[in-house]
Formats: sequence, structure tokens, C-alpha cells
Amino acid sequence: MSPNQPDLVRQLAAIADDVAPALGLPSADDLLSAICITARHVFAAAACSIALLDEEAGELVYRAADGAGSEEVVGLRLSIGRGIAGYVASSGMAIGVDAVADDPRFAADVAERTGYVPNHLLVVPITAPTGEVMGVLSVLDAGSAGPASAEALDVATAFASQAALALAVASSVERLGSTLLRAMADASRNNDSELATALRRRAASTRGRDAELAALAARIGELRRLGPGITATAGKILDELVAHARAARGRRR
Amino acid sequence: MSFVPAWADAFLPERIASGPAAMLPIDRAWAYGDGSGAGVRVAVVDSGIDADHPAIGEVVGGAVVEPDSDARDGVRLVETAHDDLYGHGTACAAIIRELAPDVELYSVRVLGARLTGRAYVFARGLEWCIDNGMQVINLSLSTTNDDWYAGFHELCDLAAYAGIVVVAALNNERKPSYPAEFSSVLSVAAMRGDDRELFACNAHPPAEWGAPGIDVEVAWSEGKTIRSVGNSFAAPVIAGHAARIVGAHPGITPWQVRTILASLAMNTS
Repeated sequence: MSPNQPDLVRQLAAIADDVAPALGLPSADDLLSAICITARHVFAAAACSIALLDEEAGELVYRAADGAGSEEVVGLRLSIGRGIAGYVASSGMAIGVDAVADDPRFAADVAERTGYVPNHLLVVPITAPTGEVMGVLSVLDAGSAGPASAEALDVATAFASQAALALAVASSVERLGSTLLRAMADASRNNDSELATALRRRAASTRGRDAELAALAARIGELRRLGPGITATAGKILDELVAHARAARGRRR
Repeated sequence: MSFVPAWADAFLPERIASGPAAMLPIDRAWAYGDGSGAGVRVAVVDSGIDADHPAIGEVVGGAVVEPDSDARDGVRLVETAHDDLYGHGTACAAIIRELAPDVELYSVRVLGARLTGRAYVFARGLEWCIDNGMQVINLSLSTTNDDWYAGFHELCDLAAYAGIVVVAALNNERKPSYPAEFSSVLSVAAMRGDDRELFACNAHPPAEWGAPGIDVEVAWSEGKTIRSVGNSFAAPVIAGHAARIVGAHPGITPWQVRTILASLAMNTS
């Protein structure tokens, strides 16, 4: 290890310790919930909800809602192969429907389970900047005090864009810790047994996800001392493991 | 409260754009013949068609396309009878049937399965239409995902060169959307009104055609009808009119169909 690396690592650790609590960042669900509340007020609507895609399960998962039936709808899972929300997620096309109660599939899927059957429903896709559909935003029974019909879709789409950005930010923040630790592991690759030891010590003194990440980073740091061939193989194995873990997590949701 | 889909503003009564300046001596009787679209093969690439819906009549054939990680190209296509997962494909097919009652309807289901790889699913569905002699293809689907640009551009060109009229709804978001933006495709946005005999032509695309799609009655699943809004419901109006023209003039090219439609548009004639 070069003489200045322990200092660098100590500084990184100190920054991480100081910054994380100071940021006090809200979770993705908090952000989505705030968007639902704002959208419901702007539309003078009975309710507003956001459901996100769980691609592995082929389902939409209602993550946030405000207004009538909101307590019942959060956590609800809906096959993307059914219902109006499923259609919007599948096609990426917005749709407005009147007299929703007349649509038997809608009634069976959502309304019956939430106890609220809207007369009118506007559903827009939440799309990533790349255009991939991430979920849907639904406005139930928008009131006459809301945006005029010519602007309603643009306003709903703006809220959906906000949701997409909130998800992108939350996801980046979630990865911040592991990114930082990976950077430390990178810094340790030049025969840096001291740093690996330090990371292991850190893993032993912390709990939960951070401990796992610290331990993982320490092992990565050690692997990299074994030469490029073994490092590359280990990298591939790790990629497979991460993919497997993601799939398992998706199934558990 | 209803909403006005993106691009539909070009066809709002107060802002409706003027149609093409050059007038051609084309009337409805000559353009449509008997107006039945008899024998014209029309594919609805969507969520399936409910053949039991009273507004549909017969569905002659079609295919289901789904992602399949074991398949060489990641997609499985099965030529089999199928239902409509949402009701949306039935809505589109019923509009075409209403305008051109004797067309042969084909259903190509590309929606509703797992979304992973759905661009390939959609593309494979379009390819099936080209390979199986469809003459009019209705795509009430479009995406703002740039990854779809090149593949769809190539397929839509292939379709156009094969003499197939491809009609596509613009996305309801105000962003470039594919394949509706391509000049090889007749791009459609919604306009007010419920008379599907009337449609408008915008000489300044991307929204080239306007047709009823705001608060319109459409067929839906389980024999029902609903009132709905979307550019999706405007596209099959243009597909229906195109099917009439193709039925009356066998061998006609998509470019000629476009010219005839422009002559019949409410803001041209």
C-alpha cells in the first residue's frame, strides 16, 4: 500500500459516516407517496396510485397511493396480463376510461379489493428516460377543479416523469454504499493486505447490509492480489451471483 | 373528465390544420367501391381479439408471440386461436369491422406476456404480418424507447415495399414514438367526434391523420362496450378506411392509398 492510501481510506470512511445521516434521504416509497399526494390534489381526484413493474414475477406492485382505497391498494399485486393498468404497462400507451365499473376485469382486479370503484380512470405509463416502462400512475375520478382536459394528460405524464426520476435517484442512493466500498477495494488492489484487513474489521463491527458489503469488498480486494486471470473469473462468478440474488429477491417481493 | 392525447391538438376544431393543398378528382364512391373491404386481410397487432364479441364476427387466423429464453431469437410464435387479455385489441378490431364489415381479421397478440424482450416480441409479430400476406396492419401501439428505432424502421420499410398499409397510433406522450413517426407508416392521433366516417389529414406530420378517439364508445372484453380515450382508437378508423380502398382497388400501393385518403379527408374536401 502506498503511504497515502490509509489516509485516503480513512477519509472516505469518515465522509461516508458524516454524509449518510446528514443526507437523511427519503426512500423511493416516500418519494412516490409524495407524488401521489400532490397529483391527487392537483387533479382534485378521489385517489391517485403508483404501481411498479416486477418483471420477474410479471406483476405490477402498488407501491404508493393517496385517497380513497389507498390503504388497501398499497402492496396489492396485479398480473401485467390483466386489467387496464396491465394494458398500460404492457403497451406503454396511456388510456382514459369512463364508467370503469362497467369493465368487469377492472372491477374484479382492483376495485373489489380496494372497495372503491371509480367512474373515470386515467392511467399513464411511468417510463425511464430510455423509454422502458417502469410502472404506471393512475388518477381515479379527477374532479372539475383539476387541469382542463387538454392539459390533463400532459400533467399526469409530468407526474409520471417525476416518479421515474425519483426512482432513479433512490436507486442510485441505494447503491452508494456498495459503490464506495468497491472504490476502496479498487484502491487496495496493489498488494494491499492492510486495507483488506481493515475492511474485514469494519465488517465485524457493523451490522446488516453494510457489513455484508464491507466483507464482500474485503474479499474482492484479496482476490485482486491473485492475478488478472483469477480476478476475471471471480468477477464472472460474482456477476452470476448478483443476477441470481436479484431474481430471488424479485420472487420474494 | 376526459383527456386529450398528445398530438391530438393538431385536430382540435379551433386548431385543425388544413389538408393537402392539391385537390384530386377523387370521390368516396370511386375510392371505396362497395365499402365492404371484402377479402382484405387486416391484422390487428395488439392484445388479441375476442372472436365471441358481437361486434367482431369471425377472426380468420393469427398468432401469439411471447418471449422464450430457450428460443434461438428469444421469441416463441405459435399460430393458434387465442383470446384478448385486456379488451384493447377487441376494441380496435371492432372499429375496423364497423367500417369495413367484410375484411378478413387476423389477430397477432404481442401484449400481455412478460415484458422482458417485448421489443422483439412486437417486431416478430410485425414480421409475421409481412410474411403472411397481410394487406393492412393496425398498430395501436408505439413506444418512445429509442432502442426500437432501427428495427422498426427496417420492418416498416419492408412492409411498405411489400405493398402493405401500416397504420400506427402515435404514443399518447408528446415525444418521438416508433413506429408511428416513420413516413412509411400512416400515423394517427385522436380527434373529437364520434362519426368514424370523418377523418382529417394534417399536411404537417408527425400526426398525419386525425380520427375519432376522444370519449368514444369501443368494444371491450366479455361482450361489453366502454367509453374511452386514446390515440389507440383513432388508428383503426384509418385502418378501416384503408381496408375499404384496398378492397376496391386490388394491388394498390400504400402510397396510392395515402393519396386517396388525403383526398377524402374532411379538411380537404
